Amino acid sequence: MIALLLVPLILPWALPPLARHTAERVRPDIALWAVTAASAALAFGVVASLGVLVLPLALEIPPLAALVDLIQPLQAGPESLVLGISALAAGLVAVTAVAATRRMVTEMRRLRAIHGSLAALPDAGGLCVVDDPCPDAYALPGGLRGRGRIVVTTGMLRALDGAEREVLLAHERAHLAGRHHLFLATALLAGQCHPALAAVVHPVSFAAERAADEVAARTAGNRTLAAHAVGRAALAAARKRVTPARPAVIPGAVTGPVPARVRALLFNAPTRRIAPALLAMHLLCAAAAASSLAGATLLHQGVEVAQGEHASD
Amino acid sequence: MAEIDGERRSAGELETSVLAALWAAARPQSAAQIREAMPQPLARTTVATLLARLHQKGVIGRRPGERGFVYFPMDDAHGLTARRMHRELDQDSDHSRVLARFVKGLSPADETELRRLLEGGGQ
Repeated sequence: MIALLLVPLILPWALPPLARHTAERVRPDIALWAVTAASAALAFGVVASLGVLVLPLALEIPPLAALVDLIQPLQAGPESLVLGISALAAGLVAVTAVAATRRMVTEMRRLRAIHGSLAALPDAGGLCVVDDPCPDAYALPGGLRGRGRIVVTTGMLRALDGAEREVLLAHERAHLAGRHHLFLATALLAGQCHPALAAVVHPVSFAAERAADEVAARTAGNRTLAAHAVGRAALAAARKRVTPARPAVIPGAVTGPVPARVRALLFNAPTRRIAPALLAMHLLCAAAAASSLAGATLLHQGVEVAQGEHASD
Repeated sequence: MAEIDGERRSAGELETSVLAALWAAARPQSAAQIREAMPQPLARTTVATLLARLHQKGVIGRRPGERGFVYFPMDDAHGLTARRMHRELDQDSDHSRVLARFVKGLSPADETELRRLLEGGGQ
């Protein structure tokens, strides 16, 4: 049963490549939902498995054992191995809980601080313009109360022409309307639960950007225009920003998300609703769910035996 | 009033566009100049209404120009907001990741590739 409970801890390693494929090939709005949901499901599996794995150790403590009416020690396998894994799981649960809480508190505090620093700015139709030559733009989620705002610097507005500005505004509106920050927050939280899931934050963020790009391109009615807006904004931002020294350009080097977004807008709009990677992600989640459920069931039977409910023959 | 495409969109979105155009211009703009700078075709009366509404909200200011008013965006106190915002955003290297930023950092390879795409783009 211990082995079954370890499977959900290993399965997340298979998600990052599948998530990348999905984010690149499946329609971005579908990819965003699918990858985020898969990451959340696997994170849930990790936490559930760890939680169940903590049980044997917890039930070694007499008051807790008495609490669930154990009349004999829980038999879950070779004792030292089970207790060792159990102790390890307890440690992981504690570390994960602390790290995840701290991360979320930091993110919330930062969002609130940004809201606070923008409070003095006038707001027209949800747009806040910050007088700053450094080109930057982002969608600031509104939280429970209040609407989200689009924050754009004058540097960004001046780097683009009128039509490109509309693409930018449509892109940011799409982020707010789609509540993309919730997807990113979910992916971040899942990433705190397992190191492999931390690598899925990037595909989720990419899918969110692509989804907003597609909405903006549809609003503008012109994919080339949308591509140019994204590309020119990125180049303008790169020119103004002091970037740390990097190794010399290697031709054919792996390029980041912005060129991929521009390429997708210019040449190929992924219209696939279903891709092998998407199906594989579903299978992965199902496998994690099945193994953690089976492990938990077996352990539960062990507990019932220890409670004297079944004859342990 | 003629039903032009741009006017079917919500007033809020159009106000946003007017404000963006006003900020993008370095100098105070007349209503006619703003109308020209807008990518969507708008009736003159619509632009006037939008400007009046923005002025009422205190988002933009206006003063008499050569012919009619010229409009300018209201600035906050000496870039205070920009500085505060930077302090919040630049606290750590990967920024706040819940914020969906329009464009993130580019590597030199990204820049080369982007230039190539934009120059040859649309073909």
